[in-house]
Amino acid sequence: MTVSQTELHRVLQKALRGLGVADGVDDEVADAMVAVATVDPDIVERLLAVDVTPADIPMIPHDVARYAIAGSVFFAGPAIADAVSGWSQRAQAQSLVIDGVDEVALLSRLLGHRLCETRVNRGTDRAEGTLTVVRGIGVTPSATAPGPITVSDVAWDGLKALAARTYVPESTRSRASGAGANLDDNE
Amino acid sequence: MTALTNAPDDRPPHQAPIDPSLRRSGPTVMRLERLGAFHPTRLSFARTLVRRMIRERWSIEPISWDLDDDGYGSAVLKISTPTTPLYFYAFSQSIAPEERTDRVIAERWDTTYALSTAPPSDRTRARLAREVPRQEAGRLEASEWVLSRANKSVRFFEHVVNALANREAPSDALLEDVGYLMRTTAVYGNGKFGLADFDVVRRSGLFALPFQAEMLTVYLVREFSVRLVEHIAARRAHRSSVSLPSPFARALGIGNATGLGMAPFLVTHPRLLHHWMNARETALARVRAVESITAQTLADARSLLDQTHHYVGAWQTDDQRQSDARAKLVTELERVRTDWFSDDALTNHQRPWDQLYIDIDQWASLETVELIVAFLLELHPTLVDDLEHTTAADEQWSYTPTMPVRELRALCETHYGWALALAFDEPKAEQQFWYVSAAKEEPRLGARFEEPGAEHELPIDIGRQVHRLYRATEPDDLRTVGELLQAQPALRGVVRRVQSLAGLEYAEIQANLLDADALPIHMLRCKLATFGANRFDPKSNLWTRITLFQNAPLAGELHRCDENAWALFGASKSITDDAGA
Repeated sequence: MTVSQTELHRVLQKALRGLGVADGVDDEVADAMVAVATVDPDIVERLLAVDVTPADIPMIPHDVARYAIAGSVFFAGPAIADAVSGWSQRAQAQSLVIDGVDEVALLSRLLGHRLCETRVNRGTDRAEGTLTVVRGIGVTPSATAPGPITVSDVAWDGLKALAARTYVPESTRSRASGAGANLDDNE
Repeated sequence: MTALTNAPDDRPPHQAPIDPSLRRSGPTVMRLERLGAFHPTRLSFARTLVRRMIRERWSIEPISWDLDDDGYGSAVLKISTPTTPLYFYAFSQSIAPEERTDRVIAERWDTTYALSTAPPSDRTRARLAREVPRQEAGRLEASEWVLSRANKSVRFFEHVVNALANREAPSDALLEDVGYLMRTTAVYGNGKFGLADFDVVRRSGLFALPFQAEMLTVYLVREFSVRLVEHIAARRAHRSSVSLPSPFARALGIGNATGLGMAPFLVTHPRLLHHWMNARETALARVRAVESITAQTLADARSLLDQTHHYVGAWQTDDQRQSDARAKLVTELERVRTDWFSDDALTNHQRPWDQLYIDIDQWASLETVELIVAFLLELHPTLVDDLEHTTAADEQWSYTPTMPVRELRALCETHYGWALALAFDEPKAEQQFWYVSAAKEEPRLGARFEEPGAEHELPIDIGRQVHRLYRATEPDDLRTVGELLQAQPALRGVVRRVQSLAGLEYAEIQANLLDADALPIHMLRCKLATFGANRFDPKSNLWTRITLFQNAPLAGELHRCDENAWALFGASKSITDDAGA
């Protein structure tokens, strides 16, 4: 089905919360996912297939020149980006190598505004690989093309199901006090 | 009142730097109770849209009108603008009385609408006829910008049709009582249900400012509602056409029932909120800086005060709190008139509006003070109107993980003192929680200690979050923000917020929105006033009825009135009235 970018962002953010992602992380990842989805809509299905949880994210060192991430960029991406910023400020080495990156394009997007240039060493955007971050001048991510995105019905339903984990059944009190309540609408 | 002219005492804004002492501070403006006393101003979105339509000579004409004797069927209005044409698709159907509800649970409506860039081809007509009446259950395409619906105000609608059909004048008393033929129950934009993202709308070159497409849709619903009663009356009377008297038609607005669904927007769009408030406060500061006023400006002010008195006198509400506030407003406006407008002394004062504002701020209620703000802005178009272009903003976050935590603490202390001063010792301070309802996926308010679901609370508790962030750090903390968030990722949202909004003094509602005494109706009033709504008629602390576009020029009048034809709370006599029915 065809969805707007705003609509996809909203549902992704809720779905990420439904998976247990923290406030703030959800927004950053949803932003980056929408940008990636404009050229690679299958990223939505890969989120649904991820088999780790946000709780699996380890502490990520801010001052070493190489580390392997555990978990998934879907959850750890913003923290990795923070670590890259910390490294960029503190470490002496010219480059930082991150191994075990399951979503290179997504991580590159999350790193986009940081003071670094990213180079993918190995693998493709869709395969797990190693990302090398080179100290340098900031790279501004390319602007996202406007317009709708086509996602599969299955993926959309999956996102909606995750989002629904954050919903709350309306109370009787709430139903009785919503807009339009207690009035004769045929007046 | 007569159309306001640009007062000769106005200097072009770029030549009038703002005296900081004339600018109201964030803590003054962003109190929840003050936001809940806002009135529409000439910067409100409905007003800026109508001024633009007049200035650019937009035309709105039906290009398809396929309605039966009872007014059921479809119609298309074409909106010709200097850039792209738009098409307003309207669908009208018969519904049973028991189906007619303003509640979000409704599944059928008297009328449904889409604002689209797609011309009415057979395919587009068929697609929209299938999807638009289904509203949330339908799917739109990126060619559609807005989706909406409205129900008839049945008693008044029928009265007007019957009066027109019988060549009688419809009742002015009923008009004053109701104020609209239809009320919208939802106006969706910005990507919902497949609609175009605002970014797509913005790139079209037609609307760079927020909510203009939505406001245009509401204006067109009003236009359609007038044409619909005229159509039904003509068929009923077996005449080729009948017309409502223009002053009567112009006095018709569009009603709306607004609930909690729109309240969190002000928290989730803080940059936008800042820009809206900043435009208003900059305008007020400019007007307060006016060194002197002429006799003509004073005459305009008196005329506007009369108009305002009339509006306030006709403002009806059953809500006790709002009714008390209105009664006080009537009394206080009388005192304003006596103290400041009974002679010509204002023309001899230096900075007369500043003196007026300072005086009123000392003794009047917030309802009166904010009405006077709207009144002052109305008098000085050249000092105010350019600020409408500052009401757009992208909600971009500027997050700096390498910032020392000590610096972050300093930001909290400098910009979130209001939050740090909140106390959360008593259950009352956290009594309410906001959540998304499973039934309609809309924001709702729960009672934390009586209802389940608080674990899914929406993160709009900014005061409490800043409180927690501050307590999670130490004065001698040597970590960076990134390291802090490694240990406590749940703080990421509030950290980004504090870093991003520092210096935007109107970005935050400075109140604990979880407190048992925090009234959501104040948030609704703020947003609706910014849209241009008036006749606030709260039905509880959780929802309100309002009216939009009352007294605005009709579509057929846009080409023969000036930009200031629609003034605060009233129509202008500068619109040449057509002959009535």
